[in-house]
Amino acid sequence: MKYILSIVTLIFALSTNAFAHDPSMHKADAEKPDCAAMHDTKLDASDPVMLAMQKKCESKMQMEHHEEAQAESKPHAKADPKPMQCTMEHEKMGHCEMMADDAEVDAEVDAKSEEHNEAHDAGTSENH
Amino acid sequence: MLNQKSITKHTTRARVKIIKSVLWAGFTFAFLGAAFIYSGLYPVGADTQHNKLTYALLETVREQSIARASSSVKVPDLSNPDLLLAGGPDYNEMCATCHLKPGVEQSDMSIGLYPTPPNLAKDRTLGLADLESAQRDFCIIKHGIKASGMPAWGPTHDDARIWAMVAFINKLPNLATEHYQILTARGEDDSGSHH
Repeated sequence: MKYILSIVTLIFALSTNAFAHDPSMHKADAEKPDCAAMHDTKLDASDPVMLAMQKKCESKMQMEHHEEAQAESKPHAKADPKPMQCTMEHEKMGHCEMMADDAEVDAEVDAKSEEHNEAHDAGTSENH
Repeated sequence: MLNQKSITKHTTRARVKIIKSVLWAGFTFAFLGAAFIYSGLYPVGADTQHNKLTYALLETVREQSIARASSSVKVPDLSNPDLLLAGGPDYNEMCATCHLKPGVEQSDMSIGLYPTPPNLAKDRTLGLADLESAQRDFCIIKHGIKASGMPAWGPTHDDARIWAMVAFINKLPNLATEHYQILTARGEDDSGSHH
Protein backbone atom coordinates (compact mmCIF):
# COMPACT_ATOMS: atom_id res chain seq x y z
CA MET A 1 0.00 0.00 0.00
CA LYS A 2 2.86 2.36 0.94
CA TYR A 3 4.56 1.49 -2.35
CA ILE A 4 1.46 2.41 -4.36
CA LEU A 5 0.99 5.61 -2.40
CA SER A 6 4.59 6.68 -2.99
CA ILE A 7 4.26 5.98 -6.73
CA VAL A 8 1.02 7.97 -6.91
CA THR A 9 2.65 10.85 -5.01
CA LEU A 10 5.67 10.76 -7.33
CA ILE A 11 3.48 10.77 -10.44
CA PHE A 12 1.47 13.66 -9.04
CA ALA A 13 4.62 15.65 -8.21
CA LEU A 14 6.07 15.07 -11.66
CA SER A 15 2.81 15.96 -13.40
CA THR A 16 2.65 19.21 -11.41
CA ASN A 17 6.12 20.15 -12.64
CA ALA A 18 5.05 19.52 -16.19
CA PHE A 19 2.71 22.50 -16.00
CA ALA A 20 5.50 24.93 -15.01
CA HIS A 21 5.97 28.00 -17.16
CA ASP A 22 8.46 26.72 -19.71
CA PRO A 23 10.78 29.37 -21.20
CA SER A 24 11.18 27.26 -24.35
CA MET A 25 7.50 27.94 -25.12
CA HIS A 26 8.52 31.49 -25.89
CA LYS A 27 11.38 30.58 -28.22
CA ALA A 28 9.22 31.01 -31.30
CA ASP A 29 8.42 34.66 -30.56
CA ALA A 30 11.79 35.33 -28.88
CA GLU A 31 12.99 38.88 -29.36
CA LYS A 32 16.73 39.48 -29.74
CA PRO A 33 18.30 42.03 -27.39
CA ASP A 34 18.98 45.39 -29.02
CA CYS A 35 22.53 45.72 -27.70
CA ALA A 36 23.32 48.84 -29.72
CA ALA A 37 21.09 50.82 -27.33
CA MET A 38 23.28 49.78 -24.39
CA HIS A 39 26.15 52.06 -25.47
CA ASP A 40 24.01 55.19 -25.11
CA THR A 41 23.10 54.52 -21.50
CA LYS A 42 24.39 56.70 -18.68
CA LEU A 43 24.33 53.95 -16.09
CA ASP A 44 27.31 53.38 -13.83
CA ALA A 45 29.58 50.53 -14.97
CA SER A 46 29.15 48.77 -11.63
CA ASP A 47 25.35 49.04 -11.65
CA PRO A 48 23.76 45.55 -11.59
CA VAL A 49 21.51 46.57 -14.50
CA MET A 50 24.56 47.55 -16.57
CA LEU A 51 26.40 44.37 -15.61
CA ALA A 52 23.39 42.27 -16.54
CA MET A 53 23.04 44.01 -19.90
CA GLN A 54 26.76 43.52 -20.62
CA LYS A 55 26.45 39.85 -19.80
CA LYS A 56 23.42 39.45 -22.03
CA CYS A 57 25.06 41.25 -24.93
CA GLU A 58 28.34 39.42 -24.42
CA SER A 59 26.63 36.07 -24.84
CA LYS A 60 24.74 37.40 -27.85
CA MET A 61 27.95 38.64 -29.47
CA GLN A 62 29.66 35.32 -28.80
CA MET A 63 26.78 33.54 -30.47
CA GLU A 64 26.96 35.85 -33.47
CA HIS A 65 30.73 35.27 -33.78
CA HIS A 66 30.13 31.54 -33.59
CA GLU A 67 27.49 31.74 -36.32
CA GLU A 68 29.80 33.85 -38.49
CA ALA A 69 32.64 31.39 -38.01
CA GLN A 70 30.37 28.52 -38.96
CA ALA A 71 29.13 30.39 -42.03
CA GLU A 72 32.74 31.04 -43.10
CA SER A 73 33.82 27.43 -42.64
CA LYS A 74 30.88 25.99 -44.58
CA PRO A 75 31.97 27.12 -48.11
CA HIS A 76 35.35 25.37 -47.64
CA ALA A 77 33.66 22.20 -46.57
CA LYS A 78 31.31 22.31 -49.54
CA ALA A 79 34.17 22.95 -51.98
CA ASP A 80 35.68 19.52 -51.39
CA PRO A 81 32.88 17.11 -50.63
CA LYS A 82 34.10 14.21 -52.83
CA PRO A 83 37.39 12.26 -52.75
CA MET A 84 39.98 13.48 -55.21
CA GLN A 85 39.65 12.01 -58.70
CA CYS A 86 42.23 11.85 -61.40
CA THR A 87 41.43 14.41 -64.06
CA MET A 88 43.10 15.32 -67.33
CA GLU A 89 45.13 18.03 -65.64
CA HIS A 90 46.33 15.66 -62.93
CA GLU A 91 47.37 13.18 -65.58
CA LYS A 92 49.45 15.81 -67.37
CA MET A 93 51.25 16.75 -64.18
CA GLY A 94 51.93 13.13 -63.23
CA HIS A 95 49.76 13.39 -60.14
CA CYS A 96 47.64 10.37 -61.01
CA GLU A 97 50.42 8.00 -60.05
CA MET A 98 50.92 9.77 -56.76
CA MET A 99 47.20 9.57 -56.02
CA ALA A 100 47.17 5.86 -56.88
CA ASP A 101 50.15 5.30 -54.53
CA ASP A 102 48.34 7.17 -51.77
CA ALA A 103 45.26 5.00 -52.27
CA GLU A 104 47.37 1.84 -52.02
CA VAL A 105 49.03 3.05 -48.83
CA ASP A 106 45.63 3.90 -47.33
CA ALA A 107 44.30 0.43 -48.19
CA GLU A 108 47.34 -1.22 -46.56
CA VAL A 109 46.92 0.82 -43.40
CA ASP A 110 43.22 -0.07 -43.22
CA ALA A 111 43.94 -3.78 -43.68
CA LYS A 112 46.63 -3.72 -40.97
CA SER A 113 44.41 -1.95 -38.49
CA GLU A 114 41.62 -4.47 -39.15
CA GLU A 115 44.02 -7.37 -38.54
CA HIS A 116 45.22 -5.72 -35.36
CA ASN A 117 41.65 -5.24 -34.12
CA GLU A 118 40.75 -8.85 -34.84
CA ALA A 119 43.85 -10.07 -32.99
CA HIS A 120 43.00 -7.81 -30.06
CA ASP A 121 39.39 -9.07 -29.94
CA ALA A 122 40.56 -12.68 -30.00
CA GLY A 123 43.01 -11.98 -27.18
CA THR A 124 40.40 -10.33 -25.00
CA SER A 125 37.85 -13.15 -25.56
CA GLU A 126 40.48 -15.75 -24.53
CA ASN A 127 41.23 -13.84 -21.36
CA HIS A 128 37.55 -13.90 -20.48
CA MET B 1 -34.43 41.05 53.21
CA LEU B 2 -37.50 41.35 50.97
CA ASN B 3 -36.07 44.49 49.45
CA GLN B 4 -32.83 42.74 48.57
CA LYS B 5 -34.74 39.85 46.94
CA SER B 6 -36.75 42.22 44.78
CA ILE B 7 -33.55 43.98 43.69
CA THR B 8 -31.95 40.66 42.64
CA LYS B 9 -35.13 39.68 40.73
CA HIS B 10 -35.13 43.00 38.95
CA THR B 11 -31.45 42.68 37.99
CA THR B 12 -31.96 39.16 36.65
CA ARG B 13 -34.94 40.32 34.56
CA ALA B 14 -32.87 43.16 33.14
CA ARG B 15 -30.04 40.76 32.22
CA VAL B 16 -32.44 38.36 30.50
CA LYS B 17 -33.91 41.30 28.60
CA ILE B 18 -30.47 42.40 27.40
CA ILE B 19 -29.52 38.88 26.33
CA LYS B 20 -32.82 38.52 24.47
CA SER B 21 -32.27 41.84 22.71
CA VAL B 22 -28.73 40.86 21.66
CA LEU B 23 -29.96 37.52 20.36
CA TRP B 24 -32.79 39.19 18.41
CA ALA B 25 -30.38 41.76 16.98
CA GLY B 26 -27.97 38.99 15.97
CA PHE B 27 -30.74 36.92 14.41
CA THR B 28 -32.12 39.93 12.53
CA PHE B 29 -28.63 40.87 11.30
CA ALA B 30 -27.91 37.30 10.13
CA PHE B 31 -31.34 37.08 8.45
CA LEU B 32 -30.92 40.39 6.63
CA GLY B 33 -27.36 39.47 5.64
CA ALA B 34 -28.46 36.11 4.25
CA ALA B 35 -31.39 37.79 2.46
CA PHE B 36 -28.98 40.29 0.87
CA ILE B 37 -26.51 37.60 -0.18
CA TYR B 38 -29.16 35.37 -1.71
CA SER B 39 -30.97 38.28 -3.37
CA GLY B 40 -28.03 38.69 -5.78
CA LEU B 41 -28.31 42.44 -5.43
CA TYR B 42 -24.57 43.01 -4.84
CA PRO B 43 -22.86 43.73 -8.19
CA VAL B 44 -19.82 41.48 -8.68
CA GLY B 45 -18.93 42.78 -12.14
CA ALA B 46 -15.35 44.06 -12.37
CA ASP B 47 -16.63 47.19 -14.10
CA THR B 48 -18.53 48.27 -10.97
CA GLN B 49 -16.39 49.54 -8.13
CA HIS B 50 -16.84 48.55 -4.49
CA ASN B 51 -18.22 51.21 -2.20
CA LYS B 52 -15.59 52.89 -0.05
CA LEU B 53 -16.41 50.90 3.07
CA THR B 54 -16.22 47.53 1.32
CA TYR B 55 -13.00 48.50 -0.47
CA ALA B 56 -11.36 49.72 2.73
CA LEU B 57 -12.42 46.55 4.52
CA LEU B 58 -11.08 44.24 1.80
CA GLU B 59 -7.88 46.25 1.43
CA THR B 60 -7.21 46.11 5.15
CA VAL B 61 -7.81 42.36 5.25
CA ARG B 62 -5.49 41.92 2.23
CA GLU B 63 -2.63 44.08 3.52
CA GLN B 64 -2.74 42.65 7.05
CA SER B 65 -2.74 39.11 5.69
CA ILE B 66 0.21 39.78 3.36
CA ALA B 67 2.17 41.57 6.11
CA ARG B 68 1.65 38.65 8.49
CA ALA B 69 2.52 35.97 5.91
CA SER B 70 5.60 37.78 4.57
CA SER B 71 7.15 38.80 7.89
CA SER B 72 8.93 35.44 8.28
CA VAL B 73 10.25 35.27 4.70
CA LYS B 74 14.05 35.30 4.49
CA VAL B 75 15.30 37.51 1.67
CA PRO B 76 18.39 36.25 -0.23
CA ASP B 77 21.00 38.52 -1.83
CA LEU B 78 19.19 40.17 -4.74
CA SER B 79 22.13 42.19 -6.09
CA ASN B 80 23.43 39.48 -8.44
CA PRO B 81 23.03 40.66 -12.09
CA ASP B 82 22.18 37.09 -13.12
CA LEU B 83 18.89 37.43 -11.24
CA LEU B 84 17.88 40.29 -13.54
CA LEU B 85 18.63 38.15 -16.59
CA ALA B 86 16.57 35.30 -15.16
CA GLY B 87 13.70 37.41 -13.82
CA GLY B 88 13.41 39.81 -16.75
CA PRO B 89 12.10 37.40 -19.40
CA ASP B 90 9.74 35.79 -16.87
CA TYR B 91 8.34 39.20 -15.89
CA ASN B 92 7.86 40.12 -19.53
CA GLU B 93 6.00 36.91 -20.29
CA MET B 94 3.93 36.53 -17.13
CA CYS B 95 3.46 39.95 -15.51
CA ALA B 96 3.90 42.80 -17.99
CA THR B 97 0.44 42.38 -19.55
CA CYS B 98 -1.20 43.48 -16.30
CA HIS B 99 1.60 45.24 -14.39
CA LEU B 100 2.92 47.06 -17.49
CA LYS B 101 6.48 47.95 -18.49
CA PRO B 102 8.53 51.08 -19.21
CA GLY B 103 6.92 53.11 -21.98
CA VAL B 104 3.51 51.44 -21.63
CA GLU B 105 0.92 53.29 -19.55
CA GLN B 106 -2.01 50.92 -19.85
CA SER B 107 -3.20 47.68 -21.40
CA ASP B 108 -6.53 45.90 -21.87
CA MET B 109 -5.80 43.91 -18.72
CA SER B 110 -4.73 46.85 -16.59
CA ILE B 111 -7.91 48.70 -17.59
CA GLY B 112 -10.25 45.74 -17.25
CA LEU B 113 -9.07 44.21 -13.99
CA TYR B 114 -10.55 45.32 -10.68
CA PRO B 115 -8.88 46.10 -8.37
CA THR B 116 -6.55 47.76 -10.88
CA PRO B 117 -3.18 45.95 -10.85
CA PRO B 118 -0.37 48.24 -9.69
CA ASN B 119 1.90 49.66 -12.39
CA LEU B 120 5.20 48.10 -11.32
CA ALA B 121 7.16 50.13 -13.86
CA LYS B 122 6.41 53.22 -11.78
CA ASP B 123 7.74 53.89 -8.33
CA ARG B 124 5.37 52.34 -5.83
CA THR B 125 4.47 54.58 -2.93
CA LEU B 126 3.90 51.95 -0.27
CA GLY B 127 6.48 53.47 2.05
CA LEU B 128 8.04 50.09 2.73
CA ALA B 129 11.72 49.43 3.29
CA ASP B 130 13.54 47.40 0.61
CA LEU B 131 13.50 44.28 2.76
CA GLU B 132 9.78 44.49 3.51
CA SER B 133 9.03 45.28 -0.10
CA ALA B 134 10.98 42.21 -1.27
CA GLN B 135 9.23 39.99 1.29
CA ARG B 136 5.85 41.34 0.21
CA ASP B 137 6.54 40.89 -3.52
CA PHE B 138 7.77 37.34 -2.97
CA CYS B 139 4.66 36.41 -0.99
CA ILE B 140 2.27 37.91 -3.52
CA ILE B 141 3.99 36.27 -6.50
CA LYS B 142 4.20 32.90 -4.79
CA HIS B 143 0.72 32.73 -3.24
CA GLY B 144 -1.31 35.14 -5.38
CA ILE B 145 -4.31 37.11 -4.06
CA LYS B 146 -7.81 35.69 -3.98
CA ALA B 147 -10.44 37.25 -6.25
CA SER B 148 -8.08 39.89 -7.58
CA GLY B 149 -6.81 38.32 -10.80
CA MET B 150 -3.36 37.77 -9.24
CA PRO B 151 -2.49 34.08 -9.69
CA ALA B 152 -0.26 32.01 -7.39
CA TRP B 153 2.93 31.24 -9.32
CA GLY B 154 4.28 29.08 -6.49
CA PRO B 155 2.73 25.77 -7.59
CA THR B 156 4.50 25.95 -10.95
CA HIS B 157 7.65 28.00 -10.22
CA ASP B 158 10.37 27.32 -7.67
CA ASP B 159 11.50 29.89 -5.11
CA ALA B 160 14.72 30.72 -6.97
CA ARG B 161 12.75 31.71 -10.03
CA ILE B 162 10.34 33.82 -7.98
CA TRP B 163 13.23 35.61 -6.23
CA ALA B 164 14.68 36.43 -9.65
CA MET B 165 11.39 38.11 -10.53
CA VAL B 166 11.45 40.01 -7.23
CA ALA B 167 14.98 41.25 -8.02
CA PHE B 168 13.84 42.40 -11.44
CA ILE B 169 10.73 44.16 -10.06
CA ASN B 170 12.96 46.05 -7.59
CA LYS B 171 14.92 47.52 -10.51
CA LEU B 172 11.94 47.99 -12.82
CA PRO B 173 10.95 51.57 -11.86
CA ASN B 174 14.47 52.75 -12.77
CA LEU B 175 14.69 50.95 -16.11
CA ALA B 176 14.55 52.81 -19.40
CA THR B 177 12.70 51.22 -22.30
CA GLU B 178 16.02 50.17 -23.89
CA HIS B 179 17.27 48.55 -20.68
CA TYR B 180 14.00 46.68 -20.35
CA GLN B 181 14.22 45.41 -23.93
CA ILE B 182 17.73 44.02 -23.43
CA LEU B 183 17.07 42.43 -20.05
CA THR B 184 13.78 40.80 -21.02
CA ALA B 185 14.74 39.53 -24.47
CA ARG B 186 14.84 35.77 -24.41
CA GLY B 187 17.40 34.85 -27.03
CA GLU B 188 17.25 31.65 -29.03
CA ASP B 189 19.97 30.15 -26.82
CA ASP B 190 18.04 30.96 -23.64
CA SER B 191 16.34 27.80 -22.50
CA GLY B 192 15.79 29.06 -18.98
CA SER B 193 18.49 26.76 -17.60
CA HIS B 194 19.83 29.55 -15.43
CA HIS B 195 16.82 29.19 -13.14
